[in-house]
Amino acid sequence: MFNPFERRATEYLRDDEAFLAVVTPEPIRVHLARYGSERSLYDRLVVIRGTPGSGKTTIARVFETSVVNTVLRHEEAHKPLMAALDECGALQNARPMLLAARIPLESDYREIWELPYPDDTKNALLTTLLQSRTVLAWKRQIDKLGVSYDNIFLSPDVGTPGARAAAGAESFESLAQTAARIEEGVLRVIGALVPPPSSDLSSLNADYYRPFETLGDVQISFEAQETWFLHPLLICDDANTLHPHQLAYLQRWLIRRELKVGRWLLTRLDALRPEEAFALVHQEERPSELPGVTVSREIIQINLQSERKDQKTQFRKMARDMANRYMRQMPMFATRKLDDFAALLSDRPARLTATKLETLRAKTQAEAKRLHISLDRYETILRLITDHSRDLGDDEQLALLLILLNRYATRVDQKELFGAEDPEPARPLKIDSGLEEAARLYLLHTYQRSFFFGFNDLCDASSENAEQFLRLSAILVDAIATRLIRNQGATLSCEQQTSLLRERATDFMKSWNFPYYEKVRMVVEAIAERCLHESLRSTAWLGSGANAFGVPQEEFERVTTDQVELSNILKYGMAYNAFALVPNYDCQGKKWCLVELGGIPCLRYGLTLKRGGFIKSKLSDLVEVTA
Amino acid sequence: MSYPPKRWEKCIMHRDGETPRFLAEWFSTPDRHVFLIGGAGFDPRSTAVAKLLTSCSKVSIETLLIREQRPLSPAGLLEGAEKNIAALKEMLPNLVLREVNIFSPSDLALIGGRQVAEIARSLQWSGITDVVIDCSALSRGIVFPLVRSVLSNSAAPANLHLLVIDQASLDDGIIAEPSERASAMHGFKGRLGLESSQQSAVLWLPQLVTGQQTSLAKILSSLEPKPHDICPILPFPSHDLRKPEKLITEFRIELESTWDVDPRNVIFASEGNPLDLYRSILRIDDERGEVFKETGGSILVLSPIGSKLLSLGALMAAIERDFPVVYVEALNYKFTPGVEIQKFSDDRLVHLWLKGEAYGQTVAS
Repeated sequence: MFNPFERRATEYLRDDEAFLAVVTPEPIRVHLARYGSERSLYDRLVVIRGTPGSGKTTIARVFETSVVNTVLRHEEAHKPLMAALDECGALQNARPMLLAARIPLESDYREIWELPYPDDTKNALLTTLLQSRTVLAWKRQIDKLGVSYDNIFLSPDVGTPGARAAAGAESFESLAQTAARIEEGVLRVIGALVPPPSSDLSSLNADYYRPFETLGDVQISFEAQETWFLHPLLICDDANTLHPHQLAYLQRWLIRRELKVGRWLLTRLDALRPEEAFALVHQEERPSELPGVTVSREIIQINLQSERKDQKTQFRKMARDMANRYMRQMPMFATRKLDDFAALLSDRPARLTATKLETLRAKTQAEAKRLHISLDRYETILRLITDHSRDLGDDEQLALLLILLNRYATRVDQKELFGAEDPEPARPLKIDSGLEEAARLYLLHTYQRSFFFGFNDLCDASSENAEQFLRLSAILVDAIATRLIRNQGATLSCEQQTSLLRERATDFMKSWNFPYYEKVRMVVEAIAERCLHESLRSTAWLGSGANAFGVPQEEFERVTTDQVELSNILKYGMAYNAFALVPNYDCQGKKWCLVELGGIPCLRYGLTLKRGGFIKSKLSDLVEVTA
Repeated sequence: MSYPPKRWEKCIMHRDGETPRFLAEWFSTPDRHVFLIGGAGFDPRSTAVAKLLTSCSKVSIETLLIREQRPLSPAGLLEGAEKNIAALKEMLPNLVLREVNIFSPSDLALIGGRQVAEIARSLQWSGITDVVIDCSALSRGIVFPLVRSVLSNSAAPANLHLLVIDQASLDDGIIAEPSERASAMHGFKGRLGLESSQQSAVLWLPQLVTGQQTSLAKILSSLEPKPHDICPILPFPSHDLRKPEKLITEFRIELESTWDVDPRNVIFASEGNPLDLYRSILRIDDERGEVFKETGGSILVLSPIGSKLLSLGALMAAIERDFPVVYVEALNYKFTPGVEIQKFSDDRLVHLWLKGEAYGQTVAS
């Protein structure tokens, strides 16, 4: 059965219409719209960073002129997206404002660094190839609009006459022809088995080819008396492919104010060296790479993972919209008018069976006896639980009771327990949502009661990563489809959700395939095992449980210098959502850096998805597990 | 309909035990001078061809061994490589060992292909009549540029032989930890992505291999423009006759949901005969060339990531038609040598004669 959730990356969708059918405007609105009103997205360098699958390429593609034009052609169907584009300044009065094209910086650009030429020559080749390909990509965008080149006009007063002549900027057609010739020439050099001597490169004219300095707004006149003025925008995707020196050079080059075009640089978190990847999580600027540049003034930095404040809520909203769009692609759901994915995921778990419940009750009584807790105290604690919440099921109440009995025993003088008195605990027993979670976690691991269910858990397990969300959802969608085929109700029970999600997480981890993935797995396993052990302690001293190791912040800051391999492991682990770093976490008057497991390992090992619980640790512990 | 003649339509190939006989006969005359290029790695096949050549012929052999350096190589594999090098040095005392960094130490970018092309360019061929490339222990990222360099070098000797031990189970036993990104093989970029081929219909021919879904996803993601169609290659007939079925089951999500493969678009290629795949690819290209002639032409993208022998078929096709070859290089390997997969007899050796006297070329004296 065709399952669009499995398709994951929107980049596989060739047609703009098919692509738009699954695009949600939320990330654009959340991350870009605030810069739109001041038009700062198009007059300086914008650097957008995120983990793989966080939606960078999708964002880039939405801004392409042909896609914007498709949005306008189907105004009714894409109203929310149109509004988001409008907020970002990509549209005005229902007219596109940008001549935008996405340029994937794939391996050709990185190859340039390996050529046996001086650095200046290699950098010139890099910018030459980038400029020529961008011009060609703009041309393709215009081709899709179906406009004759005779109706395209370039501003005659931008750049020097020499630069305009070298770029072929007398007309759009000659600009494109020059770009095609230059592209072919540079690729011949890059693709040659053995590169030509540098003296042969002069014919490329790389030093003089600067179309970005000669292009102002492009005027397009349509037959229907309509004229568009489009501001050129270059969107460099996958900048992480470049050599670090190339990336630094390209950033410096793109910051230059002589460039008249808008420029965005999209890069993955792991593009940076480990220390910079960590700095990014810290939200620190590292201006040392760009001498003479005030980063905050000349670059807009957008981190798709960093907006922690409302991140959860925003992601849930976006995920819901995205899932519903994907569902509408499946005739099986569309014909039954099933277009709300969240509504098909039950959040009412089945209680334990009577037999299991009796076993659990007997266990609490045995535990009270073992701990020498009086019957009165047993009843008092049980009352405390029932008074706390009437909504808790019997199984949850008994699991809570088990925890509270143990907590009580640790809070009274052990000698007093053997006397006739019923001593009061040193600190009163309290119940909170963390303890409820601990009780549910206990039930998951002891009685396989469902734990991961409902749309919110699904979102939380996705580590705020769209691709991961879709991959997790895919297995649930398959199961719902199977139910429909069997003429059963569409709603998926909590038990099925827990089991399917954990199964998929296990498969997901088995299929990990990125640099250092084995060592990443070792770190994940070590953290998970320790967290599980501590989370299931009889007193549930960690409340809802732990899913992280906490390393003293000071110690962690030495990781890139003292533990090079570990820093690489952490870098790739972060990049592929195996874990996240939470720096400067305040706890007990100290600063910690948390190495927090991602949603997939939490599902796999049955750990809480709630954040903040951690086990104190040291860098040496992490080094040891990867040795 | 007439199609252009194929360069290796009548390629000379020996297998099923014919190779040792051929080598013994061909290299029996003293006027032969062999230049052997092979791999010096952990692969247990590293020494087999050298052993055979030294035992069955009396000709002089110059040897270049390429040692592929990869980051994170497990100590066990490095030890295995050292053992193989020692054994080869015993057989061929004059061998030259060249180390090739497959990845850049700074950012793990792929650089090995470029290095090996440079090595091939700098080789001195004087007095050599036959170049023998033993592909058994060399990775694809090295073999492809190497073969192309030798073929395109007018100063290279007339005869070019490729030898490979056909042991699909051994290939399957070597598990690659893929690098982060897919790239075009050095020298095999073709016209993919060029402005002049933007209108071309792109067809991707991925070779399906157990456990390589992620690598194939990386390749597909890296292709620009995105393919219009995908025709997966399944090994059939193969040593394990149920292999195609197992692969279809394993790749069901890709075939059904991600790639939208029409069931009629599957290519079956004999696992033990690289010429079968070579001919299939060229036939597809011929037919598509006709169909898309008026609409910008057709581009086939190859991704040989499975059995080494099948890869050679893809190599020949890629060289002949300048097809782009996109793959994911291995960052390192895992190899648990089982006794059964280390046993290979001479009848597993396959010989492909790519260029030389058999095709009417003469040897420079």
